[in-house]
Amino acid sequence: MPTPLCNVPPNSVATVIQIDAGPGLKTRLLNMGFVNGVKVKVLENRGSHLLVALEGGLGRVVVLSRGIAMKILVDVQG
Amino acid sequence: MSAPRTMCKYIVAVVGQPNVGKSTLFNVLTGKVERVGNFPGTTVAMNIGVRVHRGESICFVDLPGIYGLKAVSLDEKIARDFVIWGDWDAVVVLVDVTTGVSGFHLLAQVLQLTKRVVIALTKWDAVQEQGVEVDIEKLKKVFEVPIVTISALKGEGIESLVDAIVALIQVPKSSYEGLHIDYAPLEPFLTALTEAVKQKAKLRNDITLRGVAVLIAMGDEDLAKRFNIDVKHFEEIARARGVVGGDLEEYIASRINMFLEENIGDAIRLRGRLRKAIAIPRLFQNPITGFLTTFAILFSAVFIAFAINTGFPFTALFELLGQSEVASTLESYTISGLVGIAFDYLKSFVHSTLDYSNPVLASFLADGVIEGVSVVTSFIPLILITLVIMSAIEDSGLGPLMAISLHNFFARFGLSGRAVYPMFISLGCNVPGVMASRAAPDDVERFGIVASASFIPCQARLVVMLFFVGYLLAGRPLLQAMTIVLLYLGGVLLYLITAKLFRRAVFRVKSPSELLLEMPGFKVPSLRVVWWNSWALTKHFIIRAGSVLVLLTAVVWSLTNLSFKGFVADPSQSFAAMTGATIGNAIAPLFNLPPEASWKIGFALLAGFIAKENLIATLAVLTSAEEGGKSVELLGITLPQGLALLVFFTYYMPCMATVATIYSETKSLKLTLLVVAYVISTALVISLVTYRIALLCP
Repeated sequence: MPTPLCNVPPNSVATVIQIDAGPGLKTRLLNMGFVNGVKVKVLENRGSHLLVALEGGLGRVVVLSRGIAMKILVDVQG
Repeated sequence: MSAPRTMCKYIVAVVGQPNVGKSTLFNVLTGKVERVGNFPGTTVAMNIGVRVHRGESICFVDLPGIYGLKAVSLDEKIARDFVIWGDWDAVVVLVDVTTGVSGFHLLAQVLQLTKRVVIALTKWDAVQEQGVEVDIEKLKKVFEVPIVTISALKGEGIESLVDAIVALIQVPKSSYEGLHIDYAPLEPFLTALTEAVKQKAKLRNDITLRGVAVLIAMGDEDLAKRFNIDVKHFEEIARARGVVGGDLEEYIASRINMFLEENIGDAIRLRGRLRKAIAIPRLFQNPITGFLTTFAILFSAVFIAFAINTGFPFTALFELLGQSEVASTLESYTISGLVGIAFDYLKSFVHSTLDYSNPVLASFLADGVIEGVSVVTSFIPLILITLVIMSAIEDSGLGPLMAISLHNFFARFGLSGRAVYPMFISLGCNVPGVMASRAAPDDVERFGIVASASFIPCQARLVVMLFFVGYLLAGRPLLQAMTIVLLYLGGVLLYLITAKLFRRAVFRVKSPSELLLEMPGFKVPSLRVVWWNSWALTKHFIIRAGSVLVLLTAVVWSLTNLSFKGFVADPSQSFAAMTGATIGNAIAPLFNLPPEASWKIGFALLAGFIAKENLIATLAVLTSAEEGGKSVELLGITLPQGLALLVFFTYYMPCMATVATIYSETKSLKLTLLVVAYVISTALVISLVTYRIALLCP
């Protein structure tokens, strides 16, 4: 069930499904690695911003504001 | 012949994602980095570092740090255009394997364009420390280009890297056909697009057309325009979208990712590595403590910078305590004090030599030209120190943390947390404050900061404020303190509102500024990188703003020493005085100023443009006051008028040096004048309002 990344609680892993953003932001996110199929681990979710690590937690660490996290649709693993 | 080509035998383009360690590498790889003009068709400086290798000189071109080649900002455009059309012999792509597969995304895009590439795996010391295992042979097999591991910090692998680059250049392969990634259902579309690219333009023959087509397919409209390809109406598009069920860019990106995962996913073993947990420290998590901590860090930074440079606020403190001698002794030992002494000596030398024969020339040289150079020089230590401290904070990794803790607050005003740097620095002096606008993530915000920085009262304006408040509200310390605090808060508010205004009105960007940052983790700032960045920016200031400033000083000299009668010894007869009178008379009716006061005030305003501190000195001279405070009294103005004037003096206009800096940062006379006009009008309106309100109070 796809949900925006901003709703994912800390310590969960989610798979990126789609990015629902304008062209500039979308490209930036894709280039950074938020690609369809990539596993993202949420390290911290402070409501106003999130700290996530790509590749299931082993890769690039990124901080994003809630506004951006709302535009990344993911599937949360069990 | 391009400029680098005249300097070096080989030209190497260096590209990499942000935080990959490009600056550190450049530092170690090349002797010094210099600017050789701009990237073609832009106003962005092209920086080159030269290294002599076995007798041959190699120019390394520093391309902006970008996550991908598709142009979403000027940075990507510059890198993309240089790779596709630039004059280079080899491309070095820097990759930080500790970021995982996503770190190879840029590489994949470059490799699809050409294989005249050497891959440099950076931070190798950290890779080994963390226990990350990398199968380099596998990587070589997949990418089919030379790969070198380097540790810029330890200086290891640098020679091997240059050897590999030179070998690549000197021993040409038969084909540099780019990396082929299978895009499955998109193949027919890509083939057609590649054909269209081929028809439309001539490219270097080591650039693979398919690579260009991929970028265009990902939606790089700017690139498409260069080839006269209208992607939207391209026939195949309709079929292509249907085939991949939606967005082409997302599909292509995911195919690239899949290619990387499948082919090199195993070659990089990140699992089981010892990575220090990257987390936001407790201190920054709480919005309040985060805010306060950031404030504390920035405040101390500015404090230190200014104390070293001018002794402020210690000198002001000593003055207040009645210890003027201690204050002036202290100041004479500060950097600006020493610089001032040196230039004073130079000026008196000129006077003593020339005064007899040609007093006008003596005055022009000493008080015009030398004064101009002295002004520019006086800013250099300040800017340098401020930049060094700021760069150190950035390089250490604290930057993102501060940006996060302030983001929420600033987002409401269309600014990102980065906007706090310039605001803080401006408290000390607007000149480095305006320069700090470079910290902004995009041009819109950057310009917003440039336009608003002038509202923050700088150290010099604080002196003016203290002066006025000391006299106008004498004997009422609480009111004095409140007024000053209000003036500062007003400045901050104006800063924030202006930034938002410019964002909305001038640039028509409705969305609030969003935060998207990579967290690079903490490290001890590298002194070389910090120095390199700071010095580069300072040099930029000296050359650009410096020349404008010297020019302006010469103009000011002419205005204050010349009149229709020629050279005048008495400034009250000069053009400046006439201008001052005009200005004063223009605003006098708004505040019902007495005529004797208005021309003096006008002149003081002019003097304040030159340097804010001059405001008081000028008033003192013009009113022939023996003691500072008296000059306000001698103006013969009422309390409401005094308050209105105080407000106007605080906000009315950035000083000459700041205007020169605004020009050097925006490179546009039109924009600079726009900002100045805006600031003056806003200040006028606010002081009028203050006047009216003050009149109403008993």
